[in-house]
Amino acid sequence: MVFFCSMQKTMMITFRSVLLFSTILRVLLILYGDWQDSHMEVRYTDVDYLVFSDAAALMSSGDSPFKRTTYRYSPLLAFLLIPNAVLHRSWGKFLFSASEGHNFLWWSSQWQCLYFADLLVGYLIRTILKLRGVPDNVCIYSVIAWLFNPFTFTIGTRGNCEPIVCAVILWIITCIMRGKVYQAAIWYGFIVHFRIYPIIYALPLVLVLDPRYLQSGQKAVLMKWSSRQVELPQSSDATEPRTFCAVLVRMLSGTRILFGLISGGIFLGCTGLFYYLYGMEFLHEALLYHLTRADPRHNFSIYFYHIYLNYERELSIMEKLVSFLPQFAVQLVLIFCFALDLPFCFLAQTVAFVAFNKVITAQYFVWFFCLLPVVMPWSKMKLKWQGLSCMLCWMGTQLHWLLWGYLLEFKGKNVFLQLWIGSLLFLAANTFVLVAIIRHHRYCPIFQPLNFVSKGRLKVNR
Amino acid sequence: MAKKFVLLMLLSRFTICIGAQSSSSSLNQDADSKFNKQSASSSLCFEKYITQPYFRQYESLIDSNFQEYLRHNLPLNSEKAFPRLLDLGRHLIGEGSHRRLSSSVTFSIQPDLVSKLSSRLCEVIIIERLPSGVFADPFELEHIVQQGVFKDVSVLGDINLELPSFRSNQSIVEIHLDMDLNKSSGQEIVQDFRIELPLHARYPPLGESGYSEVIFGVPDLLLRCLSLELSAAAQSCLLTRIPSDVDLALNPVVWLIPAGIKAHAKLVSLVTFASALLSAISIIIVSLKQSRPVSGERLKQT
Repeated sequence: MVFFCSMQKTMMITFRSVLLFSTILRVLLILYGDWQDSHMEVRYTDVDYLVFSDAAALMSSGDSPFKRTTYRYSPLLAFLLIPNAVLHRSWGKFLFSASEGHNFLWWSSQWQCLYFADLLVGYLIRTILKLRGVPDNVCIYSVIAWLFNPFTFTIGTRGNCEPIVCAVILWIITCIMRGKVYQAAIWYGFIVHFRIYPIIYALPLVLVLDPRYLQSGQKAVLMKWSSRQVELPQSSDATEPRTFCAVLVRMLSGTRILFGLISGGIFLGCTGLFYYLYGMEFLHEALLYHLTRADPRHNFSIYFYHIYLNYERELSIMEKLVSFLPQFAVQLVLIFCFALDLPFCFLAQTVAFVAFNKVITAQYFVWFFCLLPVVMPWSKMKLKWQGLSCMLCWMGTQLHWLLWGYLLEFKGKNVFLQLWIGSLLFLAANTFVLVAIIRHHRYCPIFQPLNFVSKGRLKVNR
Repeated sequence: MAKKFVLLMLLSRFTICIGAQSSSSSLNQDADSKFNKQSASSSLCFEKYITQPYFRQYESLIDSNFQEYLRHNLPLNSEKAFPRLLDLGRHLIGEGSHRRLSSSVTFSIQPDLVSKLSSRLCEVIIIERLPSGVFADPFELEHIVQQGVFKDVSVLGDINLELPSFRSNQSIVEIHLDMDLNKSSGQEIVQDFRIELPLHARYPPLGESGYSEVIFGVPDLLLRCLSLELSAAAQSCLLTRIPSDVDLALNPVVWLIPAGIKAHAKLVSLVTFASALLSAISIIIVSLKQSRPVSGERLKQT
């Protein structure tokens, strides 16, 4: 008992050490970022941070945040940042990062926000893994994979708001796992309003609320990490009626319908409120722009050069459909193959969504980096050499693209063709990595079937 | 790059040439009336930005319309009593899509005008009509104002930062600089200053050569002076252009911007769609092989 307590204490200290070191790292990076902004041509601070800071200042003076050019977020984000312009030090602890061009006190309060969002993601990763009975040492490594990932701490310390989105997505998974379905629905409605891309999780969220696994009044049991290699008894599915009506009844269960209604209601409510306040400008900038975005400027997407070369003419319906088809098909297949293993489904969908998107910027990578740690304990992939080859392939093709991008943007060389080939190679790398992740994953639904006898069932909480 | 055409010897900033002081009040009145006749209408003089009324009248910047606007509101004159542009140097600094347009200006103000302006707050207004292939970032310029480099700056016209040039219109950058004219009256003043305007390239129209040329014109220079009266009603405003005596035969400033090549279009579209399809098929095949159906068949040992 004493040994177990001291082991626990060691584990806690280790987790705390991880948090402490990640904090120190972020502080150093933010100090460095301020120096780079002042002394180098290429700024460290994300332009987006300045955009939504300006929008918050406009909102605080009663103006529309959309008066700030290129502000394409929900007014919620500007609203959350309003106290930054007023309370500075105290509010800074609850929101995210700094920007240059303001006094040091306001700047120093900003980084505390980002640290908090990053920390929250790390904490939620650990929570999800602990709920599924993952051992502490494995949890620590998974948390490290987030807190010390160069992409995540760089993007975060540059003043990007993505860690907040990641935290909410992980919180939704946590709520689902704890049986708090309707709380998850409320957060899901908010986050789809805040950042459109989580709409891709709608179908797997509905599918995971399968009445054969999760029913109100009956406890649902999480599939533990220790059972990932155990063959479970066959479910009673074979004896269940497979008529169309039976399938339809299962699909339209009360839980699923309520989840859809609540999340849809929250989304429409927020959209309606801000439409009332800011009109068509809000709809266009915060919603329609993202749905129809086709940016001809160079980015990681394979479509950028195709869009630029065809920008002067209107693309036909067939051309638009053809470019949408791969994305649509991959999303559908991934959902129907892996929905019950919710964290893995989210991860695979997000990687594919980013890879096939018409625009790809570095901040999008954070969307799947936060999901990777909650899936890692179920992967058979070894660091040597499968893991390393995935990392090197992905980073190598990215660096290759960045080299051509630098020659185009900062040296004025016409390297469009080479840059586009770099995008193709990056898509190939993303495909290679996703295929490797799928092949090495131990499929494990988060819930056990209800007819499976086990202890300690969770109850769906309304 | 622009090449300077020097008319007079350049003097350092705020240098004063000794000249005869105009003492006759009748001469002053004469100069004043001529100045007022040739200056802008008072309403334009009191506008925060001189080019703003243009955009109230017209939707977009068209050179001929703008020239007419200036001619109508700020006619040129040949009176020696008005400021004269002596030298203008222009060149681009930097490489790639983000550069700075440098302008060095030298102009003179004759003694009788100096005496009139010595009791006023004066500023030089530089109106830079940007060609459609480039844009200025208003937020970046606001930052420059906060640093005290310019007194004020505004970007008018098409301020969309993201559209390629064939989907965008031209814009104007109006820069205001404080001019601290020496308070000693009766002496000619030669002023010079240099500004750097950060600019960014838009994606140009497609071409065959792989590059698009963006050519910069000559900026319009104005001098505005407000009296130091405390009450707005008693304030008077003088606004005049700063023309040059002779034709400043500047070499045009040219910015070569990389452009997409039309001949690539079909191949790029074909290979793009084919790559996307191939990647999608790979992912779908692996997913179907590895998955367990959602209907919830038993888990197998992996």
